[in-house]
Amino acid sequence: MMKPSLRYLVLVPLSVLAFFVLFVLPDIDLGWPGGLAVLGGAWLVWYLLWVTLQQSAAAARLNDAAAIASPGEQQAWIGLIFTAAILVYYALRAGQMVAPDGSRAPEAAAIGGHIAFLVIAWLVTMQMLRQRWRDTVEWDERDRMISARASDWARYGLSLFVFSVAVMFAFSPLDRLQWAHPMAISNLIMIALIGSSLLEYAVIGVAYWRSRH
Amino acid sequence: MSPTGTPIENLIRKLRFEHGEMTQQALADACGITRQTVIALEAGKYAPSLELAFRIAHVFGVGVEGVFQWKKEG
Repeated sequence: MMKPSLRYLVLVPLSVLAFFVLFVLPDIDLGWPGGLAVLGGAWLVWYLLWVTLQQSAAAARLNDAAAIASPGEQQAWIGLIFTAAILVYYALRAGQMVAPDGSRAPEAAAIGGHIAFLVIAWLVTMQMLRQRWRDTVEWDERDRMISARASDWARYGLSLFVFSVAVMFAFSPLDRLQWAHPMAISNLIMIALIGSSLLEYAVIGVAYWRSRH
Repeated sequence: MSPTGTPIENLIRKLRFEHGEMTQQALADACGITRQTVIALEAGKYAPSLELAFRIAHVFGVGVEGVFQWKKEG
């Protein structure tokens, strides 16, 4: 059987590639067998990565000396992965959501559907983990302290971004704001919101990681 | 502040072993915290709230000062 480290080395790049092929590359008609193979392959890679993660966690649980990730830390890393995926996808596709006249492009619905798919996959993953943690303490005062600190970072980050955008709109000449159609501003606001969430998960993850090392 | 992050020392590891080699998970369950918080406490990377300090002391049947001490600087 392949070593866990080697499995991660193979599966993590494949998972990123699967995400890139499914969500970022322009739609290519591969016919139903090709489409099914790509979709099935992507799900298989993600499933194998999930199984490997669970096996690593189970092995660490048997060892009292090993400091495995707490439920709060696992939630943070999973949240970071999903928000990063959503942010990258949104940032890459945001331009296609704006029609030449500045209104909402027809592609916006399909892009929104893909984001909804990612959010549902995130919720399903969290539900599966909660089932696993149902007999253990999921959250305590240390988790609340780390979460509160991360919320502060997210609030500062979002405030800084909003302040920068406000200054840009207030002081830029009108001819340099031709891009600022309602749909483009809508995308900017959404990206700021997802970005602040990403910052919050990153701060939580790093705080837990530093505590374990 | 100590290099480990908190000026409070504790004897949790010693007390666990004196109480039938209690596992970190058993102590965590008894106090209603995660095992990772016990690990952080033992490593001196987290200073507990007063309530948690009392709960830990209660599990070991000692006073709070029997578990936690202020680390004098200098």
